Amino acid sequence: MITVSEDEDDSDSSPLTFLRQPVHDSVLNINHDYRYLRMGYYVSAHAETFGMDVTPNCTEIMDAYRNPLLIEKARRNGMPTNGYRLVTRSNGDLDTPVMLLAVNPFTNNSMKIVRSSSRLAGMIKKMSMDARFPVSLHPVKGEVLEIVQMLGESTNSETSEFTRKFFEIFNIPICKLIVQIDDGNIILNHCEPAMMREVKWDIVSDRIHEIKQRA
Amino acid sequence: MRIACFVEAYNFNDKSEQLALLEFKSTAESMGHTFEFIFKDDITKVPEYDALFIRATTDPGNSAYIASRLAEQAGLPVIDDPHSIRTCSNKAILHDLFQKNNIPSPKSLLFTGDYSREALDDIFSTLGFPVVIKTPYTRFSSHVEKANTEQEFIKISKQFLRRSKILVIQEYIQSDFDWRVGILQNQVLYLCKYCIPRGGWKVKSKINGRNVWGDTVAVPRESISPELEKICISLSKCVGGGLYGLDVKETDEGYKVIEINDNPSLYKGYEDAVDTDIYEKIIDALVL
Repeated sequence: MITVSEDEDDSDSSPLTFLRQPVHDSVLNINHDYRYLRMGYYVSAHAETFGMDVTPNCTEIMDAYRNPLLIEKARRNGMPTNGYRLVTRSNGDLDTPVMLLAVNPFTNNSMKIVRSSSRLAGMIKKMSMDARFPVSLHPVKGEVLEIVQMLGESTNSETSEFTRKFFEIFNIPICKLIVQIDDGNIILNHCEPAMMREVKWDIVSDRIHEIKQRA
Repeated sequence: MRIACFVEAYNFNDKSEQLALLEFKSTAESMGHTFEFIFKDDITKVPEYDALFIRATTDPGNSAYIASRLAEQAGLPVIDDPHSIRTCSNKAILHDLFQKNNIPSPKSLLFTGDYSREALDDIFSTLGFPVVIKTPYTRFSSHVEKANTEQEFIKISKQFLRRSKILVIQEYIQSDFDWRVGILQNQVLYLCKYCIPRGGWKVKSKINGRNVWGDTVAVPRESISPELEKICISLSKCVGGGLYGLDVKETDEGYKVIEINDNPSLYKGYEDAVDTDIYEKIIDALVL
Protein backbone atom coordinates (compact mmCIF):
# COMPACT_ATOMS: atom_id res chain seq x y z
CA MET A 1 0.00 0.00 0.00
CA ILE A 2 1.27 3.47 -0.83
CA THR A 3 0.20 6.67 0.86
CA VAL A 4 -0.50 9.71 -1.29
CA SER A 5 -0.58 12.92 0.68
CA GLU A 6 0.50 16.53 0.52
CA ASP A 7 2.00 16.06 3.98
CA GLU A 8 5.56 15.00 3.05
CA ASP A 9 6.25 13.28 6.39
CA ASP A 10 3.67 10.57 5.81
CA SER A 11 3.66 10.42 2.06
CA ASP A 12 5.10 7.97 -0.46
CA SER A 13 4.04 10.32 -3.25
CA SER A 14 2.60 13.80 -3.64
CA PRO A 15 -0.74 14.00 -5.50
CA LEU A 16 0.84 15.69 -8.53
CA THR A 17 3.64 13.12 -8.87
CA PHE A 18 1.15 10.31 -8.36
CA LEU A 19 -1.11 11.51 -11.18
CA ARG A 20 1.75 11.41 -13.69
CA GLN A 21 2.48 7.71 -13.17
CA PRO A 22 0.76 4.37 -13.70
CA VAL A 23 -0.47 2.76 -10.46
CA HIS A 24 0.65 -0.72 -9.40
CA ASP A 25 -0.27 -0.85 -5.70
CA SER A 26 -3.23 -0.17 -3.43
CA VAL A 27 -3.49 3.44 -2.33
CA LEU A 28 -4.29 5.29 0.88
CA ASN A 29 -5.28 8.76 -0.27
CA ILE A 30 -4.88 11.28 2.55
CA ASN A 31 -6.42 14.67 1.85
CA HIS A 32 -8.55 17.15 3.75
CA ASP A 33 -10.67 17.79 0.65
CA TYR A 34 -11.99 15.07 -1.70
CA ARG A 35 -14.49 17.23 -3.56
CA TYR A 36 -15.14 16.44 -7.23
CA LEU A 37 -12.60 18.17 -9.53
CA ARG A 38 -10.17 18.67 -6.60
CA MET A 39 -6.81 16.94 -6.27
CA GLY A 40 -8.08 14.59 -3.55
CA TYR A 41 -10.72 13.27 -5.94
CA TYR A 42 -8.33 12.91 -8.87
CA VAL A 43 -5.92 10.78 -6.83
CA SER A 44 -8.70 8.28 -6.09
CA ALA A 45 -9.98 8.39 -9.68
CA HIS A 46 -6.47 7.78 -11.04
CA ALA A 47 -5.94 4.74 -8.78
CA GLU A 48 -9.37 3.37 -9.69
CA THR A 49 -8.80 3.75 -13.43
CA PHE A 50 -5.67 1.63 -13.05
CA GLY A 51 -7.73 -1.03 -11.29
CA MET A 52 -6.16 -0.56 -7.86
CA ASP A 53 -7.92 -0.55 -4.48
CA VAL A 54 -8.00 2.94 -3.07
CA THR A 55 -9.21 4.47 0.19
CA PRO A 56 -11.51 6.27 -0.38
CA ASN A 57 -12.82 5.21 -3.79
CA CYS A 58 -14.85 7.61 -5.94
CA THR A 59 -18.20 6.05 -5.07
CA GLU A 60 -17.42 6.50 -1.38
CA ILE A 61 -16.39 10.11 -1.92
CA MET A 62 -19.58 10.99 -3.76
CA ASP A 63 -21.73 9.08 -1.25
CA ALA A 64 -20.26 11.11 1.59
CA TYR A 65 -20.22 14.55 -0.02
CA ARG A 66 -23.65 14.60 -1.71
CA ASN A 67 -26.06 15.10 1.18
CA PRO A 68 -29.00 12.88 0.07
CA LEU A 69 -26.59 10.02 -0.69
CA LEU A 70 -24.91 10.45 2.70
CA ILE A 71 -28.19 10.22 4.55
CA GLU A 72 -29.48 7.23 2.55
CA LYS A 73 -26.23 5.33 3.10
CA ALA A 74 -26.24 6.19 6.82
CA ARG A 75 -29.82 4.94 7.10
CA ARG A 76 -29.03 1.70 5.31
CA ASN A 77 -26.14 1.09 7.69
CA GLY A 78 -28.04 1.86 10.87
CA MET A 79 -26.56 5.25 11.68
CA PRO A 80 -29.08 7.61 13.28
CA THR A 81 -30.47 10.33 10.99
CA ASN A 82 -33.51 12.48 11.56
CA GLY A 83 -35.10 12.60 8.12
CA TYR A 84 -34.58 15.14 5.38
CA ARG A 85 -36.46 16.72 2.50
CA LEU A 86 -35.18 17.94 -0.84
CA VAL A 87 -36.81 21.12 -2.09
CA THR A 88 -36.10 23.75 -4.71
CA ARG A 89 -38.63 26.25 -3.38
CA SER A 90 -40.62 26.84 -0.23
CA ASN A 91 -44.23 25.74 -0.56
CA GLY A 92 -45.36 26.89 2.88
CA ASP A 93 -45.46 23.50 4.61
CA LEU A 94 -41.94 23.57 6.01
CA ASP A 95 -41.28 23.68 9.75
CA THR A 96 -38.64 25.69 11.56
CA PRO A 97 -36.08 25.59 13.05
CA VAL A 98 -34.48 23.81 10.14
CA MET A 99 -30.97 23.12 8.88
CA LEU A 100 -30.38 23.91 5.18
CA LEU A 101 -27.61 22.32 3.11
CA ALA A 102 -26.96 23.21 -0.52
CA VAL A 103 -26.92 20.27 -2.95
CA ASN A 104 -25.08 21.89 -5.83
CA PRO A 105 -21.61 21.51 -7.35
CA PHE A 106 -20.33 24.90 -6.23
CA THR A 107 -20.97 25.38 -2.53
CA ASN A 108 -18.89 24.25 0.43
CA ASN A 109 -19.47 25.05 4.13
CA SER A 110 -23.05 25.79 3.19
CA MET A 111 -24.91 24.83 6.37
CA LYS A 112 -27.42 27.42 7.53
CA ILE A 113 -29.91 27.17 10.37
CA VAL A 114 -33.14 29.10 9.86
CA ARG A 115 -35.26 29.63 12.95
CA SER A 116 -37.84 32.03 11.56
CA SER A 117 -40.32 30.77 8.94
CA SER A 118 -40.44 34.25 7.39
CA ARG A 119 -36.76 33.89 6.35
CA LEU A 120 -37.08 30.37 4.98
CA ALA A 121 -38.34 31.07 1.46
CA GLY A 122 -35.60 33.64 0.81
CA MET A 123 -32.86 31.35 2.09
CA ILE A 124 -34.10 28.41 -0.02
CA LYS A 125 -34.22 30.66 -3.09
CA LYS A 126 -30.64 31.77 -2.46
CA MET A 127 -29.22 28.33 -1.65
CA SER A 128 -31.03 26.64 -4.54
CA MET A 129 -29.56 29.28 -6.87
CA ASP A 130 -33.09 30.27 -7.81
CA ALA A 131 -34.45 26.71 -7.97
CA ARG A 132 -31.63 25.38 -10.16
CA PHE A 133 -30.43 22.88 -7.52
CA PRO A 134 -32.13 21.17 -4.59
CA VAL A 135 -31.61 22.18 -0.98
CA SER A 136 -31.57 19.48 1.70
CA LEU A 137 -33.65 20.36 4.77
CA HIS A 138 -33.07 18.66 8.13
CA PRO A 139 -35.14 19.36 11.26
CA VAL A 140 -33.19 20.90 14.12
CA LYS A 141 -33.98 19.06 17.33
CA GLY A 142 -30.78 19.14 19.33
CA GLU A 143 -27.44 20.83 19.79
CA VAL A 144 -25.61 21.24 16.48
CA LEU A 145 -21.92 20.29 16.51
CA GLU A 146 -19.13 20.26 13.96
CA ILE A 147 -16.55 17.53 14.48
CA VAL A 148 -13.49 16.57 12.47
CA GLN A 149 -13.13 12.87 11.73
CA MET A 150 -9.61 11.55 11.06
CA LEU A 151 -9.38 7.86 10.09
CA GLY A 152 -12.02 7.07 12.70
CA GLU A 153 -10.63 9.37 15.40
CA SER A 154 -12.43 12.51 16.51
CA THR A 155 -11.45 15.96 17.66
CA ASN A 156 -14.15 15.54 20.30
CA SER A 157 -13.79 12.64 22.78
CA GLU A 158 -17.58 12.37 23.29
CA THR A 159 -18.04 11.53 19.61
CA SER A 160 -15.16 9.09 19.13
CA GLU A 161 -17.41 6.02 18.96
CA PHE A 162 -19.55 7.79 16.36
CA THR A 163 -16.57 8.79 14.18
CA ARG A 164 -15.19 5.25 14.38
CA LYS A 165 -18.50 3.94 13.01
CA PHE A 166 -18.62 6.68 10.39
CA PHE A 167 -15.18 5.71 9.08
CA GLU A 168 -16.12 2.02 9.03
CA ILE A 169 -19.16 2.77 6.86
CA PHE A 170 -18.01 5.67 4.70
CA ASN A 171 -14.23 5.07 4.46
CA ILE A 172 -13.40 8.78 4.18
CA PRO A 173 -10.02 9.37 5.87
CA ILE A 174 -10.55 13.04 6.79
CA CYS A 175 -13.73 15.11 6.84
CA LYS A 176 -15.84 17.47 8.87
CA LEU A 177 -19.16 16.11 10.14
CA ILE A 178 -22.16 18.16 11.12
CA VAL A 179 -24.20 16.33 13.74
CA GLN A 180 -26.88 16.97 16.31
CA ILE A 181 -26.88 15.70 19.86
CA ASP A 182 -30.49 14.93 20.63
CA ASP A 183 -31.34 13.28 23.95
CA GLY A 184 -27.88 11.73 24.13
CA ASN A 185 -28.02 10.37 20.58
CA ILE A 186 -25.65 11.59 17.87
CA ILE A 187 -27.50 12.22 14.62
CA LEU A 188 -25.66 12.63 11.32
CA ASN A 189 -26.65 15.61 9.15
CA HIS A 190 -23.79 16.36 6.82
CA CYS A 191 -20.23 15.62 5.70
CA GLU A 192 -17.91 18.14 4.05
CA PRO A 193 -14.19 18.83 3.60
CA ALA A 194 -12.26 19.81 6.70
CA MET A 195 -10.00 22.81 6.53
CA MET A 196 -6.25 22.10 6.77
CA ARG A 197 -5.99 23.94 10.08
CA GLU A 198 -8.88 21.99 11.62
CA VAL A 199 -7.14 18.63 11.15
CA LYS A 200 -4.91 17.24 13.89
CA TRP A 201 -2.16 15.94 11.66
CA ASP A 202 -0.34 14.14 14.49
CA ILE A 203 -3.44 11.95 14.96
CA VAL A 204 -3.59 11.35 11.20
CA SER A 205 0.07 10.35 11.19
CA ASP A 206 -0.38 7.86 14.04
CA ARG A 207 -3.39 6.27 12.36
CA ILE A 208 -1.57 5.97 9.02
CA HIS A 209 1.25 4.06 10.72
CA GLU A 210 -1.25 1.73 12.40
CA ILE A 211 -3.08 1.09 9.12
CA LYS A 212 0.12 0.47 7.16
CA GLN A 213 1.40 -1.96 9.78
CA ARG A 214 -1.83 -3.94 9.51
CA ALA A 215 -1.79 -3.92 5.69
CA MET B 1 -42.80 -1.95 -15.33
CA ARG B 2 -42.72 1.63 -14.06
CA ILE B 3 -39.93 3.54 -15.74
CA ALA B 4 -38.91 6.95 -14.40
CA CYS B 5 -37.25 9.36 -16.80
CA PHE B 6 -35.24 12.00 -14.94
CA VAL B 7 -35.36 15.29 -16.83
CA GLU B 8 -34.96 19.01 -16.20
CA ALA B 9 -37.11 21.78 -17.68
CA TYR B 10 -34.43 22.60 -20.28
CA ASN B 11 -34.84 19.13 -21.85
CA PHE B 12 -38.13 20.40 -23.30
CA ASN B 13 -36.78 23.64 -24.78
CA ASP B 14 -35.64 22.16 -28.08
CA LYS B 15 -38.47 20.77 -30.19
CA SER B 16 -36.44 17.81 -31.47
CA GLU B 17 -35.37 16.80 -27.98
CA GLN B 18 -38.92 17.18 -26.70
CA LEU B 19 -40.21 14.97 -29.53
CA ALA B 20 -37.57 12.34 -28.75
CA LEU B 21 -38.65 12.30 -25.09
CA LEU B 22 -42.28 11.87 -26.12
CA GLU B 23 -41.22 9.08 -28.49
CA PHE B 24 -39.57 7.29 -25.55
CA LYS B 25 -42.80 7.63 -23.58
CA SER B 26 -45.06 6.35 -26.35
CA THR B 27 -42.66 3.50 -27.18
CA ALA B 28 -42.48 2.38 -23.54
CA GLU B 29 -46.27 2.55 -23.23
CA SER B 30 -46.77 0.57 -26.44
CA MET B 31 -44.52 -2.08 -24.90
CA GLY B 32 -46.77 -2.27 -21.83
CA HIS B 33 -44.78 -0.11 -19.42
CA THR B 34 -45.48 3.19 -17.71
CA PHE B 35 -43.04 6.01 -18.39
CA GLU B 36 -43.13 9.05 -16.11
CA PHE B 37 -41.03 12.19 -16.32
CA ILE B 38 -39.62 13.11 -12.92
CA PHE B 39 -37.80 16.30 -11.93
CA LYS B 40 -35.31 17.24 -9.23
CA ASP B 41 -38.01 17.78 -6.60
CA ASP B 42 -38.92 14.08 -7.08
CA ILE B 43 -35.43 12.63 -6.64
CA THR B 44 -36.20 10.88 -3.37
CA LYS B 45 -39.05 9.01 -5.14
CA VAL B 46 -36.62 7.23 -7.49
CA PRO B 47 -36.56 3.97 -5.45
CA GLU B 48 -40.35 3.68 -5.93
CA TYR B 49 -39.86 2.91 -9.65
CA ASP B 50 -38.59 -0.22 -11.41
CA ALA B 51 -36.02 1.47 -13.66
CA LEU B 52 -34.50 4.89 -14.21
CA PHE B 53 -33.57 6.54 -17.51
CA ILE B 54 -31.71 9.84 -17.22
CA ARG B 55 -32.01 12.50 -19.91
CA ALA B 56 -31.03 15.54 -17.82
CA THR B 57 -27.40 16.52 -18.24
CA THR B 58 -25.25 14.23 -16.15
CA ASP B 59 -22.27 15.28 -14.08
CA PRO B 60 -21.13 14.15 -10.63
CA GLY B 61 -21.99 17.66 -9.43
CA ASN B 62 -25.52 17.64 -10.85
CA SER B 63 -28.81 16.39 -9.46
CA ALA B 64 -28.80 13.65 -12.11
CA TYR B 65 -25.91 11.92 -10.31
CA ILE B 66 -27.93 11.76 -7.10
CA ALA B 67 -30.89 10.26 -8.97
CA SER B 68 -28.60 7.72 -10.62
CA ARG B 69 -26.89 6.65 -7.40
CA LEU B 70 -30.18 6.41 -5.48
CA ALA B 71 -31.45 4.12 -8.23
CA GLU B 72 -28.31 2.00 -8.09
CA GLN B 73 -28.46 1.76 -4.29
CA ALA B 74 -32.08 0.60 -4.58
CA GLY B 75 -31.09 -2.08 -7.11
CA LEU B 76 -32.84 -0.50 -10.11
CA PRO B 77 -31.53 -0.79 -13.67
CA VAL B 78 -30.31 2.70 -14.50
CA ILE B 79 -29.07 4.47 -17.63
CA ASP B 80 -26.77 6.36 -17.00
CA ASP B 81 -25.24 4.52 -14.06
CA PRO B 82 -23.06 6.41 -11.54
CA HIS B 83 -19.78 4.83 -12.65
CA SER B 84 -20.42 5.76 -16.30
CA ILE B 85 -21.30 9.33 -15.26
CA ARG B 86 -18.14 9.71 -13.18
CA THR B 87 -15.92 8.27 -15.88
CA CYS B 88 -17.33 9.91 -18.99
CA SER B 89 -17.97 13.34 -17.45
CA ASN B 90 -14.30 13.89 -16.78
CA LYS B 91 -11.80 14.19 -19.63
CA ALA B 92 -8.82 13.81 -17.28
CA ILE B 93 -10.16 10.43 -16.16
CA LEU B 94 -10.79 9.49 -19.80
CA HIS B 95 -7.18 10.40 -20.55
CA ASP B 96 -6.08 7.79 -17.96
CA LEU B 97 -8.59 5.26 -19.24
CA PHE B 98 -7.41 5.58 -22.84
CA GLN B 99 -3.77 5.19 -21.80
CA LYS B 100 -4.40 2.23 -19.55
CA ASN B 101 -6.38 0.39 -22.24
CA ASN B 102 -4.32 1.44 -25.29
CA ILE B 103 -7.28 3.10 -26.99
CA PRO B 104 -6.20 4.75 -30.27
CA SER B 105 -6.64 8.46 -29.60
CA PRO B 106 -4.95 11.80 -30.28
CA LYS B 107 -1.72 12.28 -28.33
CA SER B 108 -2.60 14.02 -25.10
CA LEU B 109 -1.11 15.20 -21.81
CA LEU B 110 -2.42 16.32 -18.46
CA PHE B 111 -1.43 19.87 -17.54
CA THR B 112 -1.54 21.35 -14.03
CA GLY B 113 0.06 24.76 -14.65
CA ASP B 114 3.79 24.16 -14.95
CA TYR B 115 4.89 26.99 -17.29
CA SER B 116 8.62 26.29 -17.02
CA ARG B 117 10.51 26.35 -20.33
CA GLU B 118 11.21 22.63 -20.02
CA ALA B 119 7.53 21.77 -19.46
CA LEU B 120 6.31 23.93 -22.35
CA ASP B 121 8.94 22.48 -24.70
CA ASP B 122 7.87 19.01 -23.67
CA ILE B 123 4.21 19.78 -24.49
CA PHE B 124 4.86 21.26 -27.92
CA SER B 125 7.52 18.75 -28.98
CA THR B 126 5.05 15.97 -28.13
CA LEU B 127 1.87 17.49 -29.53
CA GLY B 128 3.06 20.07 -32.08
CA PHE B 129 0.90 23.08 -33.00
CA PRO B 130 -1.95 23.79 -32.80
CA VAL B 131 -3.04 22.11 -29.56
CA VAL B 132 -6.53 21.61 -28.18
CA ILE B 133 -7.04 22.65 -24.54
CA LYS B 134 -9.92 21.06 -22.63
CA THR B 135 -11.24 21.43 -19.13
CA PRO B 136 -12.15 18.05 -17.59
CA TYR B 137 -15.82 19.03 -17.52
CA THR B 138 -16.19 20.07 -21.16
CA ARG B 139 -19.45 19.14 -22.89
CA PHE B 140 -21.20 20.15 -26.09
CA SER B 141 -17.89 21.65 -27.34
CA SER B 142 -17.82 24.24 -24.54
CA HIS B 143 -14.64 24.84 -22.50
CA VAL B 144 -12.58 23.53 -25.41
CA GLU B 145 -10.26 25.92 -27.24
CA LYS B 146 -7.54 25.64 -29.86
CA ALA B 147 -4.19 27.37 -29.33
CA ASN B 148 -2.10 28.09 -32.40
CA THR B 149 0.88 29.55 -30.55
CA GLU B 150 2.60 29.24 -27.20
CA GLN B 151 1.24 32.67 -26.22
CA GLU B 152 -2.31 31.58 -26.98
CA PHE B 153 -1.73 28.37 -25.03
CA ILE B 154 -0.56 30.27 -21.94
CA LYS B 155 -3.47 32.73 -22.09
CA ILE B 156 -6.20 30.10 -22.57
CA SER B 157 -4.76 27.58 -20.11
CA LYS B 158 -4.36 30.19 -17.37
CA GLN B 159 -7.98 31.18 -17.86
CA PHE B 160 -9.17 27.54 -17.67
CA LEU B 161 -6.95 26.77 -14.64
CA ARG B 162 -8.89 29.33 -12.61
CA ARG B 163 -11.73 26.81 -12.45
CA SER B 164 -9.94 23.50 -12.82
CA LYS B 165 -6.87 21.93 -11.18
CA ILE B 166 -6.14 19.86 -14.27
CA LEU B 167 -6.45 20.41 -18.04
CA VAL B 168 -6.14 17.97 -20.91
CA ILE B 169 -3.91 19.15 -23.75
CA GLN B 170 -4.44 17.28 -26.99
CA GLU B 171 -2.92 17.05 -30.44
CA TYR B 172 -5.21 18.80 -32.97
CA ILE B 173 -6.61 16.63 -35.74
CA GLN B 174 -8.34 18.43 -38.57
CA SER B 175 -11.45 16.78 -39.99
CA ASP B 176 -14.72 17.63 -41.73
CA PHE B 177 -16.75 15.47 -39.34
CA ASP B 178 -16.57 13.26 -36.25
CA TRP B 179 -18.09 9.82 -36.29
CA ARG B 180 -20.69 9.61 -33.52
CA VAL B 181 -21.13 5.96 -32.62
CA GLY B 182 -24.06 5.24 -30.30
CA ILE B 183 -23.42 2.15 -28.18
CA LEU B 184 -25.92 0.33 -26.00
CA GLN B 185 -24.95 -2.70 -23.89
CA ASN B 186 -21.73 -2.94 -25.87
CA GLN B 187 -23.43 -3.13 -29.26
CA VAL B 188 -23.71 -0.47 -31.93
CA LEU B 189 -27.08 1.30 -31.61
CA TYR B 190 -26.74 4.04 -34.20
CA LEU B 191 -24.15 5.74 -36.35
CA CYS B 192 -23.93 9.39 -37.41
CA LYS B 193 -21.59 11.93 -38.83
CA TYR B 194 -21.44 15.06 -36.70
CA CYS B 195 -20.19 17.58 -39.25
CA ILE B 196 -17.93 20.51 -38.47
CA PRO B 197 -19.60 23.74 -39.64
CA ARG B 198 -17.86 25.64 -42.43
CA GLY B 199 -15.39 28.10 -40.91
CA GLY B 200 -15.26 26.25 -37.58
CA TRP B 201 -13.09 23.50 -36.11
CA LYS B 202 -15.47 21.70 -33.72
CA VAL B 203 -19.06 20.50 -33.97
CA LYS B 204 -20.34 23.59 -32.18
CA SER B 205 -18.14 26.46 -33.32
CA LYS B 206 -18.24 30.18 -32.75
CA ILE B 207 -18.38 31.74 -36.21
CA ASN B 208 -18.63 35.50 -36.60
CA GLY B 209 -19.56 35.72 -32.91
CA ARG B 210 -22.41 33.23 -33.24
CA ASN B 211 -22.59 29.60 -32.04
CA VAL B 212 -23.17 27.37 -35.07
CA TRP B 213 -23.84 23.62 -34.92
CA GLY B 214 -22.74 21.38 -37.76
CA ASP B 215 -25.17 19.05 -39.53
CA THR B 216 -25.96 15.57 -38.24
CA VAL B 217 -26.01 12.89 -40.94
CA ALA B 218 -27.35 9.53 -39.82
CA VAL B 219 -25.83 6.43 -41.45
CA PRO B 220 -27.14 2.82 -41.19
CA ARG B 221 -25.43 1.12 -38.26
CA GLU B 222 -24.77 -1.98 -40.37
CA SER B 223 -22.43 0.11 -42.50
CA ILE B 224 -19.97 0.73 -39.67
CA SER B 225 -16.47 -0.42 -40.56
CA PRO B 226 -15.34 -3.49 -38.59
CA GLU B 227 -12.30 -1.58 -37.30
CA LEU B 228 -14.38 1.32 -35.98
CA GLU B 229 -16.85 -1.07 -34.39
CA LYS B 230 -14.09 -3.05 -32.70
CA ILE B 231 -12.48 0.07 -31.23
CA CYS B 232 -15.79 1.47 -29.97
CA ILE B 233 -16.96 -1.78 -28.38
CA SER B 234 -13.62 -2.35 -26.73
CA LEU B 235 -13.74 1.16 -25.23
CA SER B 236 -17.35 0.96 -24.10
CA LYS B 237 -16.56 -2.30 -22.30
CA CYS B 238 -13.88 -0.44 -20.32
CA VAL B 239 -16.58 1.88 -18.99
CA GLY B 240 -19.61 -0.38 -18.54
CA GLY B 241 -22.72 -1.73 -20.21
CA GLY B 242 -24.77 1.43 -20.58
CA LEU B 243 -25.65 3.91 -23.31
CA TYR B 244 -22.73 5.85 -24.76
CA GLY B 245 -21.89 8.18 -27.62
CA LEU B 246 -18.33 7.91 -28.89
CA ASP B 247 -16.72 10.66 -30.95
CA VAL B 248 -14.10 9.34 -33.34
CA LYS B 249 -11.93 10.98 -36.00
CA GLU B 250 -11.06 9.08 -39.16
CA THR B 251 -7.44 9.82 -40.10
CA ASP B 252 -4.81 8.50 -42.52
CA GLU B 253 -3.34 6.65 -39.54
CA GLY B 254 -6.64 5.00 -38.63
CA TYR B 255 -9.44 5.88 -36.24
CA LYS B 256 -8.72 8.06 -33.19
CA VAL B 257 -11.22 8.24 -30.36
CA ILE B 258 -11.76 11.76 -29.05
CA GLU B 259 -14.08 10.83 -26.20
CA ILE B 260 -16.78 8.56 -24.89
CA ASN B 261 -19.88 10.28 -23.52
CA ASP B 262 -22.57 8.94 -21.26
CA ASN B 263 -26.01 10.52 -21.73
CA PRO B 264 -25.54 11.03 -25.49
CA SER B 265 -27.79 13.46 -27.36
CA LEU B 266 -30.90 11.87 -28.85
CA TYR B 267 -32.93 14.25 -30.97
CA LYS B 268 -35.93 13.26 -33.10
CA GLY B 269 -34.99 13.35 -36.76
CA TYR B 270 -31.24 13.32 -36.08
CA GLU B 271 -29.62 10.31 -34.39
CA ASP B 272 -32.76 8.22 -35.08
CA ALA B 273 -33.18 9.26 -38.72
CA VAL B 274 -32.03 5.92 -40.17
CA ASP B 275 -32.14 3.35 -37.38
CA THR B 276 -35.55 4.16 -35.98
CA ASP B 277 -35.63 1.32 -33.44
CA ILE B 278 -33.29 3.00 -30.95
CA TYR B 279 -36.17 3.92 -28.61
CA GLU B 280 -37.38 0.34 -28.36
CA LYS B 281 -33.86 -0.98 -27.80
CA ILE B 282 -33.19 1.49 -24.98
CA ILE B 283 -36.48 0.67 -23.25
CA ASP B 284 -35.66 -3.03 -23.61
CA ALA B 285 -32.27 -2.43 -22.00
CA LEU B 286 -34.02 -0.81 -19.02
CA VAL B 287 -36.58 -3.52 -18.41
CA LEU B 288 -34.91 -6.81 -19.34
